[in-house]
Amino acid sequence: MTLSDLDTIPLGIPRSPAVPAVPAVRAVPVVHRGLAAARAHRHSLAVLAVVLPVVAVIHGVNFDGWPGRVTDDEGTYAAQAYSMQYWNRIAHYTYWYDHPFGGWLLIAIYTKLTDGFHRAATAVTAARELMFLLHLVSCVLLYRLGRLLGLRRFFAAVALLAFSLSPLGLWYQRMAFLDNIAVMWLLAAFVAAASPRRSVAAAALAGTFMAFSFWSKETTLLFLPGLYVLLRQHRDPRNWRFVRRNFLGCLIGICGIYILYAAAKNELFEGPGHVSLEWAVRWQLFDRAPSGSVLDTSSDTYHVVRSWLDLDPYVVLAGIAAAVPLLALRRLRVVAALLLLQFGFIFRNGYLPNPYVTAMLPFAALCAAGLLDVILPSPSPSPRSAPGWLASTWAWIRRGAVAAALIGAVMTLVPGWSPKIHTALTDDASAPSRDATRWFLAHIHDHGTVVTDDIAWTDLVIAGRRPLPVWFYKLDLDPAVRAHFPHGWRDVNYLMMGKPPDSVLTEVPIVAEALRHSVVLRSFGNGEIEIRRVLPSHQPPPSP
Amino acid sequence: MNATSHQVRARDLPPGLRTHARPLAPRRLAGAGRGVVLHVTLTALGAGPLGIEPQLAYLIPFALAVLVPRTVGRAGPRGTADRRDHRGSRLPRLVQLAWETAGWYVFVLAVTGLDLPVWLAAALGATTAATATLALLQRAARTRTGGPGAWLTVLTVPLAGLLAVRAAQNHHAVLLAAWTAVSLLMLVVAVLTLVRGQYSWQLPERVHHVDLADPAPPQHRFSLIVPARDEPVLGRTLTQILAGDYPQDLVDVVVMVSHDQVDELTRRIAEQIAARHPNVRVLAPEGSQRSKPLSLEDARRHCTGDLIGIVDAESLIATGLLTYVNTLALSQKDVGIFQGGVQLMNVRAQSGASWWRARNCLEYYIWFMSRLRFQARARFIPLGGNTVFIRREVLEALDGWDVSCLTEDCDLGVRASVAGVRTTVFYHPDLTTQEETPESLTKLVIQRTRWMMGFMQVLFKGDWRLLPGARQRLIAAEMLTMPFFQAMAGILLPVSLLLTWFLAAPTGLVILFCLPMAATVMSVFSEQAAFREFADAYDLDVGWWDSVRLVLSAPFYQLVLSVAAVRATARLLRGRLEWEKTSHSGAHHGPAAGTGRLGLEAAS
Repeated sequence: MTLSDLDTIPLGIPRSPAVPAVPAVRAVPVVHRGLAAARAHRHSLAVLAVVLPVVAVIHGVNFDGWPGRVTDDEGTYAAQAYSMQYWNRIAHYTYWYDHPFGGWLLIAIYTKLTDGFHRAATAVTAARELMFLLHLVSCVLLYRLGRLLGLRRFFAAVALLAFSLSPLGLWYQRMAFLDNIAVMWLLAAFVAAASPRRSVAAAALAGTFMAFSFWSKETTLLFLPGLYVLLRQHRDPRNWRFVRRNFLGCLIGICGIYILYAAAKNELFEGPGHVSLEWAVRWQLFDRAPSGSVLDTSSDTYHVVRSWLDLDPYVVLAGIAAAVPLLALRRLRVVAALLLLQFGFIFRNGYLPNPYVTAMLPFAALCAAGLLDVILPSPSPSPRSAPGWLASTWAWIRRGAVAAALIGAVMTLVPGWSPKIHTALTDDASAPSRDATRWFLAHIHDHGTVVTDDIAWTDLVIAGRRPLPVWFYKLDLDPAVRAHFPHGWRDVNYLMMGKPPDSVLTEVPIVAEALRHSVVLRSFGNGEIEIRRVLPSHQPPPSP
Repeated sequence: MNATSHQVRARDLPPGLRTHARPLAPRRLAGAGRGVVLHVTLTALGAGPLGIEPQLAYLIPFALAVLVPRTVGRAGPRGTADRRDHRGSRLPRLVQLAWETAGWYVFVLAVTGLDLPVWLAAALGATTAATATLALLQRAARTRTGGPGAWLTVLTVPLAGLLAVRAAQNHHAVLLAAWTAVSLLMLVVAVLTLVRGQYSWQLPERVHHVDLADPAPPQHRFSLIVPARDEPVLGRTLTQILAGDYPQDLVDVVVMVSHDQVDELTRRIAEQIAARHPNVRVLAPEGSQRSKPLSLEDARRHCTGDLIGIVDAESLIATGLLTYVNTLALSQKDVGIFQGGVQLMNVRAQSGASWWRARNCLEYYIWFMSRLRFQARARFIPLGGNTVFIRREVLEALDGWDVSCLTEDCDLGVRASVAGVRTTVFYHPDLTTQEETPESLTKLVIQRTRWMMGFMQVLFKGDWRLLPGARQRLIAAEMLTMPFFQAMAGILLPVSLLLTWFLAAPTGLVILFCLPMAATVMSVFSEQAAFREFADAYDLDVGWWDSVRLVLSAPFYQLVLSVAAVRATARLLRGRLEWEKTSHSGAHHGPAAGTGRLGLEAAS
C-alpha cells in the first residue's frame, strides 16, 4: 500500500478522522490579517487621518527655509551620509567615534533610495526631507504610545499636536539632527515595550529599537532604565524570564557591534597615531568644556535655554508641571520620571547640547495630555441608579477643569503660535547659504583651495569642485588635512563661511589667520555668509 | 523557479493519471514564466545596485534554478509503476544544468555581442532555458524514458572553465565569500533555533497548555510496547507502568526481548512480571540481528489496543499519563499522534564528570517543552521514540516503522507529517517520563552519532520531499540537516579567527563572521531562563554554580556534538550502519550483505 492509495484503505481498518484523506495545506494570508488589524483600529486610523495631514502641511511647507542654516552640524551629517553613499567611508574626514554612525547611515540609505543628493536643492535639504518623514513616523508612534499608556484617543491626539505643532518642536524637528532619528527609534522601543501581547518578540523588538536609538545617538542610553521599568510594568509573570533576557540580549548584542567594529579596526583603546573609541567616550563624558550653569545669565546654558523658551515656553513647561503629580500614577510614572530626569540634567553644570530639548518634547506632550486625561473622569462602567451628589459634583468639577484647561490652551497657543508658524511656513532663512554656494559655483572656476563650512561642503563636492573643499575645523585639527597645507594659511585661496565666534576661532588659528588676510568678494544675508579671497599681500586692517 | 518544480500537484489528479504529464499545463507555463521573471530580476539586481559583473550576476538565478527545485521542490507521489525517483523534478540535475548553461551562453552573447541591456539579455537567456526544459519534459513524458544523455554536460565545460579561472584569480575573495555564505547560513539557523526553542514562552498564554482537571472516563485501550535489550532495570519500568492509575484491564503491555544469551537476565525479569500480571506479554523472537524498529514491528502485530504507545525500557512513566492521553484522544478526534514529554533528571551525577549533564537535561526540556510544540504546529515533527502514542489505524495506514532506519521514530514522524496526520505535543512536569543521562561522555557521543546517522538516513530517503508546503519542506530540510550544522558550529569560531587573521578581511566581513557567535550568546541568555523554568518545574535545587557551569559548558558541548556529527558522517559514508561495540554487548553484529536488512542493534 502506497501513500497514493490512502483514499482507498481496505476494509477492516476503520476510517477515522485522524487519518486524513488528503493532506491539508494551511494557508495563512497575510492580507487578511492586515485588514483585520485595520478594522480593529479603525477609530484611531480615522483620528490619525485627520491630524496627520495637518502635521504634514505644517512640517512640510518650507522645511528647508526655516530654520535657516544656523548650525554646522546639519552639514556635517549630510556630508558624512554623502561619503557613506558615494565613497563607502563612514565620514568625509577621519571618523573619530564622536557618535555611532547609525544616524547618517539612515540618511545615506534614504538618499541612496531616492537619489537625494542629486535631486534636492542642497545636501542639507535631502537630509531634512528624511527628517520630515521620520517626524511623521514619530507622530504615529507617539500617538500609539499614548494609547498604550491608557490615554483616550482625543488626548493622544492632543499629545501628538502638542509634540508636533509647537514652534520649539518645529524648529528642532525640521533640522537634520541625530536627535530626531534617535527619538524616533526610542519611541518605537517604548511602543514595543508597552505592547499588550506581552510577547518575547515584542521585547526583542524593544531591545533592537533601543539599540538602534543608541546607534543614532549614544546619549539615549539615559532612557534605558525607564524603558526597562516600563517593560517590567507590562510584564506577564509566565514568560517574564524570557522577555527580559531577550530584551537585554538584543540590546547588548546590537550595541556591542559598535564596540566590535572599533575592535576590528584596532581603534578600541587609545594608542599612537590613531583615533580611539575610548578617547571619544572620555572626551564626551568628562573632558568636554561645561557650558556653565543655567542659573548664570551669562553662560551658554542660559542662552540655550532662553532660546528654547523664546520659541515656545508652553509645551515643555506644561509637561514638567504635569509630570510631578503624574509620578503618583502607575501607568504614566515612567514617562513623567524620564521627563523630570531630563529636566534635572539641565542643572548638572555640564555641557548642554543645543538640541537637547528634542528628546524632552515627546515626554512633555505625553505628560501634559496625560494629566488632562487623568483628570477627566471616565464614564462609569455600570450606570448606577443614584450616584452620590458629592461624587457627581466632583466629576463635573473635573470635567470643568479639563474644559477650562483646553479652552485656555487654545486661547493662549493659537495667538502665541500662529505668528511663529506663519514665519515657519514662509520665511526662507537659508537663502544666504544657498545663494552663496550658487554664486561661488557660478563665478569661481579656478582650481584654488576653498575652506568652507560643512553645509556648503557637500554641495561643492557634488558640483564637482576639485581640489576638494576643506571643512574649516579640519584644517587645524586633523593632521592628515594639515599635511596638505605646508605653508599654512597661504595655501588657502578662498574662504566661504560666516564669521565664527571668537571661542571657535581660537581653536582654528590657521583659519583665523586666513580670515584676517582676506578680502570679501561677496557677502550674503548681511554678513551671514561671506565669500572671501585670501591675498597674502593684503594687510589686515588694524584692530580697533 | 522552472517548470520542473511546479508539476501538477499529485493530490489534484486521480491516482491513475498521476504518472502522465498533461501537455503544457497552464501551471507549468506559469512556473516557467515565474522562472524567467526571477532570472531577469535577480540579474538586474546583481548587475545594477550590487555592481557585480553581468556574466557573474546571471549565475545567481542560474544556481537557484538548478539547485532549488530538486533540493526543496515538492516530490511527486511514489508509485511502483513510476520510473521517476522521489526527488520531484523529472529531469536529472545535470540536464537542467546543461540547459541553464545554454541560457547563460545566450545571455553572454546578448550582453557582449549584441549589446542589449542586461534585463533584456537575461530575459532571452532565461526563455531559452525554459523553452528547452519544457520541450524536454514533453518528450520525457511521452517516451517515458530518462532524459537525454550525459553528453549534454559537455555544454557546461566552458562555463566551468570560466568560473575556475576567475576563482583562481581571486581565491582570497572566493574563500571569504564562501565563508561569508556559511556564516550567514549558520546565523540564520542559530536564530531560527533560538526562536523556535522559545516557542512555548513566546506568548504568556502558550506556557501552560496542559489542563489536568476534568479527566475523561477511561475508554481507550492502550497497547504499550516496551522494547528491551539487556536492561536490568526493566523490572522497575514495568512495575511503574503497572502502578499507573489507568484501569489495568484497558492496558496491554508487550515486552520485546531477544532470545539470545545477552538478554537472559532481562528475559527472566520480564517473564517473572508477566507471570504475575495477565496483561503483560513477553515476546522473544528468534533471529540473530535485532534492532529496535524490528522489535516494534514484531510487537505491532500483537497489539490490539486503540492507542499504541512506546515506552523505553529504562524510563519511568508518570502515573497519570495514560489518563491524560485518554482524555486527549477523546477530545481531539482528528489528532492521530500524541507525543508526551521525556525528561532527563540528573543535573548532577554522583560520580564521574558531570559538566555536561545539566546541558543535556536542558536540551531535553527545551526540545519537548518548546521545540516539538513548534514542530507540531508547523506540521512537520520528528517524533521522540519514547512516550509517544499513536492511534492504531494511523499506524496501519503508515505501514508501521521502517526497520532499516537508525531513528525509526523520526522516520515515522516524517511519514506521518507527509500523510497530514496531526500531532499533539504535551509537556507537564507531572506527566513527563523520567530518564537518566547517559553514563559517560563516550556513551553520549555514541548516542548522538546514532541519532545523527538516523537523521541523515531520513534526509536521504527523501520522504520529506512529499510534504505539501514549501515552508514545511524548508523546515524539514533544516531539521534533518541539523547534524551538518552542528558539525559546522563547532569549527566556526576557530576558522573565522583564522580567516580574519590571515586574509585580512574587511571590517564588515569580520563583524559578519562574529554574528553567529552573537546568536549563540543570545541563546545562552535564553537557556538560562529555560534552566530556571526547568528548576522551578521540578523543584530542583540548582544554584548559581550550576548556571555558571551551564554557560561555560556551551562551547565544549558544541564541540562534543561536532565530534559526534563528524563521526556520523564518516560512518554513514563508509556504510557502517551496524551498532558500535559497547562495553556490555559481547555479541558481534555485522551488516548483512545485499538483503536490505542491515544489522542493527537496539540502542540503549
